[in-house]
Amino acid sequence: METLDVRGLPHSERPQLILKKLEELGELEILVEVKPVPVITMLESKGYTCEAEQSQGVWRVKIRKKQG
Amino acid sequence: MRRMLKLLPIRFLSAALIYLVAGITLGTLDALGYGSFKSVHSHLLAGAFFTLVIMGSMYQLLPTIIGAELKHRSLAEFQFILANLGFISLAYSFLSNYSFLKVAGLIAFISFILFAFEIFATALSVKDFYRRSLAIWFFLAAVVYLVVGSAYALAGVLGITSFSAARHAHILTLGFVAMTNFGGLYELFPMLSLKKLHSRRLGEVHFFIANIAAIGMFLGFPERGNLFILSSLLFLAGFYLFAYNLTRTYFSKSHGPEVEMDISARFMAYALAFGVAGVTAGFTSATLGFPGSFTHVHLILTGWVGLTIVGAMYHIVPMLTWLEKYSTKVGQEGVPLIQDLYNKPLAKALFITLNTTLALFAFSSLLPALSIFAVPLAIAFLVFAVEMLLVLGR
Repeated sequence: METLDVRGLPHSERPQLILKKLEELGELEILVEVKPVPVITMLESKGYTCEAEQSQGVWRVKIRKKQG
Repeated sequence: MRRMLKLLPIRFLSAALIYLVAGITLGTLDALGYGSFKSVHSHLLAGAFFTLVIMGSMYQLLPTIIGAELKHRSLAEFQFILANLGFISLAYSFLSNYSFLKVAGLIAFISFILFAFEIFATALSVKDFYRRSLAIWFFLAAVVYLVVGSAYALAGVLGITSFSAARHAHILTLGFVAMTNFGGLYELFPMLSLKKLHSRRLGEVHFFIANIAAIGMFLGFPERGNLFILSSLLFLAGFYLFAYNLTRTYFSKSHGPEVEMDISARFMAYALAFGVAGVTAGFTSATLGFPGSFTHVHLILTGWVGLTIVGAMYHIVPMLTWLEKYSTKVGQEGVPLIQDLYNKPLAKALFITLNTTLALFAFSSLLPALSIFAVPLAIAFLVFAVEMLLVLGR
């Protein structure tokens, strides 16, 4: 699974970048400073599953297409 | 627009913008001598506008920060209706010689209790919520002050206790509004300026200083004796600590490549300068009688709080609009960027106008000729409100 580190990117540019990568790859891991709850809600409504976990101040969110 | 209003935080923010328009219109008429609307002006702005913005922002930010969903969403939906009913009734009461004030106060109070319950229930649903962010500490304290401040006012209106308008105003503005603003800035300012907060530990120290000082000030009203002066001095010291922490954050090295400062972060940085000027003016007004409460109130509420809100809304409103309307279309058709949803030259013009006119208008009690700046200041806020409503429709 490819990892996309969006930390340091302006917040207004992140959702579009994440969605474009997901369109290309189908699954993605993102690194982000805070849990991106609005983005996760949006992705789940688009048929993705998101697993978020925090370690050492960084949130890792694994995004996959929902099975079935 | 209707689609956007399904989002709870957007519903609060949109309603707040309507109170902003009404409050500013009445305040400008008052400042220009076309009637006496001080009570309704201050309650529409410092009451309805600030409170609904804070509620909408907390409903958006708190789940994001702690990584959870709102605990009782339908209760929050009902609370939105009740809060508006309360604020409209309060405005009506102030315009009609305080008739209906008891019922209006009771409705507003119940809505605040429900809000407090929702925020605490959501926060407590996550085991280590207090570790997630310093903002949570301030938000929870702010909610307690909202309940205490409104209970105090209601008890006064019902004749249960004596009532001091200054104490009521300070519990709600210094307790509820300022604590929320501290929390919001500790969270949003580093995030939007793409920096790391200089020191969380200093922020924690500030939390205790600010709360001890705030309680001391509330107890010091209305006598304004030694307790009040000492507490004011402590609050001032805490605010300087807060400003130092955020200034160090602002000038620290960025996480990634240097990019142009986000408009939201720029508004917040300037708001901070108004905050420092406002608390200093508050202390010198209380001890030396200069420059007076008008300057203190407008620097703090319009400058520090108002400009922080403008900055926060330039982030939240386009972001939520984009997520709701355009996120499903990425890869299928051309979609605008989030920053394309608002007019950038207008945002810069508003930034300059709001900062300059406010800096002048705040001193109009010392130099009455400066009251003319109420007009461009009011127009700039009105244009901002219309622009935010237009973003929802884009």
